[in-house]
Amino acid sequence: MSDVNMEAWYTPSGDVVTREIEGELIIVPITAGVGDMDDQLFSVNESGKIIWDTLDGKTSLTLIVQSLADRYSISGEEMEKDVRGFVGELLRRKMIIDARTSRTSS
Amino acid sequence: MREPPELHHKKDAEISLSGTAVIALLSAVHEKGADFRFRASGASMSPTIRNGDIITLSPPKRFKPASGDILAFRHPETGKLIIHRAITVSSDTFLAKGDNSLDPDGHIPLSNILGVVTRVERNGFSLFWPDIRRFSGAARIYFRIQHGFLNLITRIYSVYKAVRRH
Repeated sequence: MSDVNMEAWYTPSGDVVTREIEGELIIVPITAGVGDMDDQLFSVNESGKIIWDTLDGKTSLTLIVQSLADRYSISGEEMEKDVRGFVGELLRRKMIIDARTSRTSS
Repeated sequence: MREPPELHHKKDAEISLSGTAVIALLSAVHEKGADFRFRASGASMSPTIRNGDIITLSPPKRFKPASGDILAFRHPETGKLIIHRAITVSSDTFLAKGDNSLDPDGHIPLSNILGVVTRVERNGFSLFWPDIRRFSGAARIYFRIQHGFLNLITRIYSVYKAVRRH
C-alpha cells in the first residue's frame, strides 16, 4: 500500500472522472488518454464516498479524520485506520494527489 | 459510517449500468479529451461489431462526421445510447442504420452525436479499423466499401429467408 501522509492535502487527480450514478459513486481513471470502462471501472461504498467528498485539497488528512470521528462518534484511532487504508488504496491507483506537492512541482 | 470504506474494482461484465449512466460516463471522459472504451451489447451492427466486442469511442469534437462512419449517439425519441452507421450526413442531421438492421433509425441531429468508433477488439485482438482522424479519406472509402458489401449480404440473406419461407 502507498505511504499515506496524514499532513497532506489530498484531492482527486485530474486524470479521473467521477459520476454519481444510481446512488453509487463511480470512478473511471484516464490512463494513456483512455477512460476504460471495460477494465478500469471502480465504485466506492457509502463510507468511501463520505471520505472521497472530504478530499478537497485544502484540508489535511489529520483534520479530516478528526472531523469524521466527531461527526460519526467513532474513535479517532479507528477512523484513522479506515481513512489510511482507503486513502492508501486511492494513492496506489493514482486517483488522488497531494495538492501542495502538485502545486510545487508544476 | 457503519462499514469500512472500500474501493471496488469492477469489470464491465460485473455491472449493469443503464444507457443513461453509460452516456454520463462517456460524456465525462470525452470532456477530458480522452477516448472511452467499453463493451458493446446487441447484434444490430453485426458482423462489423458483435455482441461483447470492446469498442473505443473518440470524442465527436475531433472530427466532422461523414457517411460510412460508425457513430454513438443519443436517440432523440428514446434517449437510448445507439451505435450505428451514418448512411447520409447533411448540415444538421444524419441518417443512421445498423449494418444488421433492415430499417434506418431516422434522421438524428448532429448535436446528438456522442462519439465515433475508432477501435474494435474481439477475443483480445484489435480488428482492422482505419483511424478516420488520421487517414480520413482512405478510411472512409474503406468504410463505404465495407458497408456496401455488408448491405448487399444483408439484403441477399433477407431475400433468401423470404424465399425459403414460401
